[in-house]
Amino acid sequence: MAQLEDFNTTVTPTWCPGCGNYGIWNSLKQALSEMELEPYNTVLTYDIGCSGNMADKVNTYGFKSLHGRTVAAAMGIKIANPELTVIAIGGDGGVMEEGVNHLMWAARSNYNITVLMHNNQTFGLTTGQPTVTTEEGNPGKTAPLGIVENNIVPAQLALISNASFVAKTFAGNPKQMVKVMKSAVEHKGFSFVEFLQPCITFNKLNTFQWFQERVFDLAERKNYDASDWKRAFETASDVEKKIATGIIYQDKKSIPYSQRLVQRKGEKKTLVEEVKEYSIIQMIREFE
Amino acid sequence: MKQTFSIKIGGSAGQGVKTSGYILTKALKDLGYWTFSYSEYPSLIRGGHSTFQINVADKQIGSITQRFDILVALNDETIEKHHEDLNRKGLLICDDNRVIKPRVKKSLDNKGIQILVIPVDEIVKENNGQPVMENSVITGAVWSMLTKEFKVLENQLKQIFGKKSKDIETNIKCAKDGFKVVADQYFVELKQLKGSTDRIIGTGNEVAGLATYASGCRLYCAYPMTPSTGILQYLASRTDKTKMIVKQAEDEITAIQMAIGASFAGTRSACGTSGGGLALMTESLSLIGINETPLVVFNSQRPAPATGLPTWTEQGDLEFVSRAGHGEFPKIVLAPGDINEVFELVPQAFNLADKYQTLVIILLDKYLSESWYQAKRFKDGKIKVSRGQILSEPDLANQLEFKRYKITVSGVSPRSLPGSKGGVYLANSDEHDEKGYSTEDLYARKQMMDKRMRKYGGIISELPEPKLYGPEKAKTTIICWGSQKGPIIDALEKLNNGKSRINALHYSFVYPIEIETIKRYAKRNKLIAVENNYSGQFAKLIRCETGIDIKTRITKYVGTPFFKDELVEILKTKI
Ligand SMILES: Cc1ncc(C[n+]2csc(CCOP(=O)(O)OP(=O)(O)O)c2C)c(N)n1
Ligand code: SF4
Ligand SMILES: [Mg+2]
Repeated sequence: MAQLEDFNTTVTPTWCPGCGNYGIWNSLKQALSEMELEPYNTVLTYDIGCSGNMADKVNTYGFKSLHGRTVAAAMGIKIANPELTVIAIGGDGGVMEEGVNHLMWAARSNYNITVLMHNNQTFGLTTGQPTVTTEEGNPGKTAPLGIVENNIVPAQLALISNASFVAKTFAGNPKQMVKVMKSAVEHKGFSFVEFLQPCITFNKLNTFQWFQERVFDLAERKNYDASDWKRAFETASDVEKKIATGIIYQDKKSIPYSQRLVQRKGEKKTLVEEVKEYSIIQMIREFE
Repeated sequence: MKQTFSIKIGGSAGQGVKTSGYILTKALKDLGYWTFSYSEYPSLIRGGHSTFQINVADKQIGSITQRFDILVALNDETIEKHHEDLNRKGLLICDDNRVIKPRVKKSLDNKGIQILVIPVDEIVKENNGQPVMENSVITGAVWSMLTKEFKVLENQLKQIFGKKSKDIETNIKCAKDGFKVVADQYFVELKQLKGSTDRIIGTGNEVAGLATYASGCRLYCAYPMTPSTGILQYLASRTDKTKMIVKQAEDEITAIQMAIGASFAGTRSACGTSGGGLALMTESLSLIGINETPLVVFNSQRPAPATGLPTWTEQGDLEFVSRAGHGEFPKIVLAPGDINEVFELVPQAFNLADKYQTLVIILLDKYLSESWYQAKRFKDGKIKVSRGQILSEPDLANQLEFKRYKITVSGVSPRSLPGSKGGVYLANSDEHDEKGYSTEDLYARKQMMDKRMRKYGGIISELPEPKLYGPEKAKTTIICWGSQKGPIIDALEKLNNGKSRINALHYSFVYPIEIETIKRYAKRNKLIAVENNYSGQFAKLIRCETGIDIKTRITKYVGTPFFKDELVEILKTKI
């Protein structure tokens, strides 16, 4: 059984000291080992960004795609081999901007993958331009006079795209991160997890302390019912004063994409195992 | 008896021009004749003007002619637009609602063209049919001018309408009454010939789909775009039999990313599109260049720039495709010339992609994708899947340390598939070391670039020579590639007329190019490039790779392929 250390590589992280990514990185490895996953049957896909720079720091099969494409590549990997655990990692720039269509489609198709979005509300790697999640009062390098567009709340978008699992967790709360990630990966269907991730270098507003003062855990609310979509949407929308974290929505009865395909009913093999020459004797008749 | 002739059917979109043409094509094959059928239609659903042309011969053909012998008009526009291209002593078949202007009538009479008017409405009414069945009446009437074998047509009507409509009996009655309008008077009299039972009819897209399946590809991803959509639809409509996953993705970027992801996971996957879609995929082509994932991409060309002429044909993307993707990385571009070559090259494309862990683009175009070719039935069991260097778990267990991107002499490094113990690695879009980890060590960068580019050595060493058609001794040689093979070969016979005047070298491996053959020919022959694009893109590539400048370039870029008779006329002046 793989231990947390088995998910380490020889490469040391290059994030700024104090960056929220450190906590996410450790919790991810913790969650993988607690789920008894092995480096060889787990695939992490990555985007381009500070979050994507985690790519050579976790010892699993990895696929670092282009900017915005982490989710799209993950969908293909999962379709080819449903026996793999597939987790797509990306930033708010990659997942909510360059590749936002993939997020919506992965959600509506209910591929059995998990998307982990590191939301630092900025383009970290390109040194601090505003993103779609940047708050109005926090202009970045390319909007010195202020942001004139409205922002988008990621969990809302995931919910209206029919994601069957939506959660939010704070990079300053390792226990919650591990718990949420485990539930997300174990969920049968598409899971979206947003990390509230402080970027200490380019986001001076949404700091660890700023989040600390606002977050609360839905798990502590006895009467919160995560299967109630309307309630979930209200909860996801209410980010003015307090920010709800934990599992916001889960449809436990959701049927993942591969099980919905009529032609794959009862097929035991994966598409990987099925590669061989196929006879055309039957098919060629239609051409006669 | 004349056995080489052509029929053009014209009408507005939605009138069933294509259905009639297709039924006649299949019936002609059943009668024992070789056919080539090509359709033109506008990019809209109703109205507009569409045509279907069938060229008939007593041997295999791959082209249509500009001029034809029989014109079947389902609307007035057809007569107006196409009567001038009717050959002398030809035949015009239309229904009794058509208006033939006196000017047109005079010109038809001058050329000795017979006009056959069919009381279509009356026949449909007598049979209690629907207006759409006018089509069957006309089809029957056309057939009556060709042969007395009604049964052959009836069989095809049953096959084609049997699937779609409950009114099959009425359709057959309509066709039969259309057939009876003219008795025992033939335009050409075709007898039932033997030997066509081992032949097939298919479009390039259908055959591309068939060959993709046969090659063991298990995931096909695409976003619909004419003229490549036929591959997607063919494969999608056969998944009950093939058990493949055929994915209409949300856009072309998703289609290719899914296909790359699936290939990384270890299955065979492919995606398909047309020029505009390929432009969207371009960044991902470059991703394949660096992470060395095998992939086959179909690109069926249509006239561009931009949306261009969506439903017409051109060989306009060769330059784009051979250069597509930022940076430098090995790639292979194949351009089959007909459905036989599609069936041959698609499996090779998958094997080459696996062998060199690289990108293989298959260039089709509207002409090849959507024309109906007739060919000898493909042999089953010919295709061999060869997956290149994939390490199994025992192989991996034997390695001290697995390095996915190991520097090798061939440039190809054995790969592992996710799920295999001992094979963990990172497929990285950043420049990386042998393990896949990002590096900005510039020596490592050079080593990795050199390794990847060394694959070209192997690729070039296995490039086949272009195929020679026509008399070897001829002093003039046409240089051509891809889909225009049919019109060019068909024109050769007429041009040579028993002498050795002109031959043709046809390339289906268009990038990289095998250069020795053309060097030999350039020394002793006059070269003429014939290309279905504006500038002679293949000729430009040849000049770039060999310094040989083919000055005579016959190009065409108006949305239609080269017509055989048109090409004969142009080439006559160049020999
Ligand atoms: C096609 C493309 N456009 C732009 C870039 C430049 N780029 C790299 S990372 C990035 C944004 C990263 O922001 P985010 O996804 O939020 O990740 P973070 O660095 O904040 O973790 C951009 C714009 C790129 N690599 N590729
Ligand atoms: S720039 Fe921000 S997100 Fe990137 S490493 Fe530094 S603190 Fe982390
Ligand atoms: Mg960010």
